[in-house]
Amino acid sequence: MSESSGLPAALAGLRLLDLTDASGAYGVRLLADLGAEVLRIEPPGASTDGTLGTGEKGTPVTTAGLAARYDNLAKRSLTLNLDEPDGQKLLRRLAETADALIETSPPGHLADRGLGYPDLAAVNPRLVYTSLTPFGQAGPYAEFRQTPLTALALGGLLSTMGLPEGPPVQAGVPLAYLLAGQHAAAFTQIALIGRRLTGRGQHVDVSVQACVAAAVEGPLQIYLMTGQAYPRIGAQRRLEPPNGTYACADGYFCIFVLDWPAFARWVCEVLGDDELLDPKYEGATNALRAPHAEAIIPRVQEFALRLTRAELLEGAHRTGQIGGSVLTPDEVLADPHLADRNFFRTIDWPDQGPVQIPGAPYRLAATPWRTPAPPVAPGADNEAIFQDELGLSPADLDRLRRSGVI
Amino acid sequence: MSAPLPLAGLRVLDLGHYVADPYATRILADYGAEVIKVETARRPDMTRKLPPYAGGVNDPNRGGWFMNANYNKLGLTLNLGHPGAGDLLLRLVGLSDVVSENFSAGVLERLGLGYETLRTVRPDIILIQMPGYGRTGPYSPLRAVGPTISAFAGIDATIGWPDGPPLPTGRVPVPDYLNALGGVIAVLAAVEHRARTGEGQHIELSQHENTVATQGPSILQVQLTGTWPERNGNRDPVAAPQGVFRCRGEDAWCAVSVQSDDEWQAFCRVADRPDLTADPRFATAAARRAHQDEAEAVVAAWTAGHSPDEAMGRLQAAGIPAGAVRNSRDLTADEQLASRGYFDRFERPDVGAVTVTASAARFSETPAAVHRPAPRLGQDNDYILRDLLGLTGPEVERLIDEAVIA
Repeated sequence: MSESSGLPAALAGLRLLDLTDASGAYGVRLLADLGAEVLRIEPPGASTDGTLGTGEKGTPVTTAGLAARYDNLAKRSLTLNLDEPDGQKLLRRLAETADALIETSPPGHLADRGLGYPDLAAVNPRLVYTSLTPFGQAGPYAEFRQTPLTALALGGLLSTMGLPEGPPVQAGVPLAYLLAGQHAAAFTQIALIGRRLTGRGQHVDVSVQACVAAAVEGPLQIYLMTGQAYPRIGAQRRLEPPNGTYACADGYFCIFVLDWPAFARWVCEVLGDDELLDPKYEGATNALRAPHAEAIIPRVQEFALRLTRAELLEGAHRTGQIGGSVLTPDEVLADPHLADRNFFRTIDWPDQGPVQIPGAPYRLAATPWRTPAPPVAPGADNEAIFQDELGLSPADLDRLRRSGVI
Repeated sequence: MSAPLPLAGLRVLDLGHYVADPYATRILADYGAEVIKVETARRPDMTRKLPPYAGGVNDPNRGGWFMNANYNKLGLTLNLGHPGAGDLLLRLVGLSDVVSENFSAGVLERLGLGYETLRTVRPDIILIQMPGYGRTGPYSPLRAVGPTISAFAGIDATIGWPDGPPLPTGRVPVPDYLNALGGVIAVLAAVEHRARTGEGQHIELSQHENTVATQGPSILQVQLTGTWPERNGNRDPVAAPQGVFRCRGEDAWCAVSVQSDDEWQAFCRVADRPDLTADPRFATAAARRAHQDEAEAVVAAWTAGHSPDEAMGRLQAAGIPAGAVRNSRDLTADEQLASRGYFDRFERPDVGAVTVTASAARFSETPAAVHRPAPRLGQDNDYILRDLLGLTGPEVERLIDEAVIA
């Protein structure tokens, strides 16, 4: 939206109405980044204040608050009160020419306001209407509320996270919402492409719970085929030693061993003994070493503590293993590989100055990703859309503002 | 007459393995694409080799995870390492719309099957490559798996307890699913562009970068505030009390997230603690954060007397977000997922009925279905070689004898 390479945008010309909350906003952003014109529609006055994404005064700046900014880059911004008839009318007018509407309201909420799928399909049969809700449009939990933590729990992913003897533990980032939003975006695209064959849109009903459960297919198959519910395994995989995450000299490192003999030689070189070269530890798979987990894991931990992440990464590659450094977000920002690939982009953050944001999640040679414009204030496009495009007068807009419609 | 599936007529040649590519192409297959999975019996896909196995028999045609990720696809065995295989693959490329792979960087090119070569047989081909770290840069030679990507992207650093180590997401390689979805979004953008212009394109999705892109909020947070979502158990920086609380039963937990003062009041009513409704320690979010240990103790005392589903039901009825922590066994019995028909099945003579997870979406006009079992190795060789490519019986025999088809 802010840089032009002269090349087209893949989704240019598509208009999407974005009524999503934190569970879907990132997914819609991905479509905006590919060139779709996204009109983000929020209630007037509900937005966070300030540029750091904080809510009420005194509330700490949070990742979630900043997500509200990050997830809505590359989008235009409208405010509309959909509880008011005038607000509903305006949304209906926008829906007449939109290609898709993506929303995360509780089931029935928009329908109660004359804005459900049948209502909008009546004015625009070509509209793709994607509803992303915690559990789908119907069913015993359809009215339940969600947060990233409860979504992680009910989708089956949380139970696999944490130490074996402790409670399950979440990530500090909303994994359930990332999975859900991306699914919703992909399904919306599928329906838009399908429209070429049928000439019609449809209602796409996406369940956050199902999106999370999709990622749990491995443990699900373990249960379905063996009757065993997969346990929490902590940092090291006792059933496939020595795979796992270990403390090292300057942090933590994650290793998956593919070539045991080469790995054992490396460990023995560093530790200065021959213990792991003992033939009893050999085996075509790590699972075959499981009976020796109590002997292997502490030795590998001792080995790892003597090396830095850079040394472990180099050695893992050299000996034919798969390794990864556990990085903190500031370290990700400073990652030399991402710098070499010019991955990060600089944009101006209101009141803060230039900041770096992740760049293209994928590189499309013919229709490249574009760096988004800086975040816009809520309602920044109210005049351009309601006045210039829909033909309301300045006096109309004033009246709507005063009555809390926009 | 029912509408054609949205991706009907799209043919995808899938050279991928494990999860990041296969889950993407399964979504495409679910919605009508003809996906030909190109494998070799000499190096079966990792998910064919990992447990669990149908019937407990370790056989590459019985891998449970493989079958869940690869139903709805056709299977071809083609030994790409054989010098004679490239021509055959190119003939298939000539008939395909999309080629996808998640090899390590450079593998496809070393096989003589890079983008420019593919274009010679199909000028509008869409090629998506999904190497771990991209095709260039210092990490590009490194092999990757979902857990190492999760470490490098800054996700693992946010999982765990204060003063404890980072805990990976265990048996669920979350980035693989995020990257599969990114792959779908990128490919469908290219399909849209091609529908408009006739032009295909080359897509590079670095799994590392697609995952880092989801961590934008943390990366912004560290620049704007110097803080990032450090390991803090199940707590939230704003909402309190939030946690995962032990319930009645074995390894029984319920996630609870009290988001507002009203919800705290509602909790006090549910827990029959009227004495706490006016307690200044819990009157505001800031107060509850300052007294988190005590607030959590109140919740824990109540949940201990209930099963996870009872706790969830009672709290949700009072408007409080709560989610029973489902493990893989619980998921298969989850009444909400059942009401959506989330668990479906296919039948294949050698393994009988195999239960699988279905699409996370329900489309009103063009619903997905499990319409084809996961393929046995080479299951569809005849259709592909004889019907699609027009090879004769003797020609196919020769290719098998020469181990091109292997």
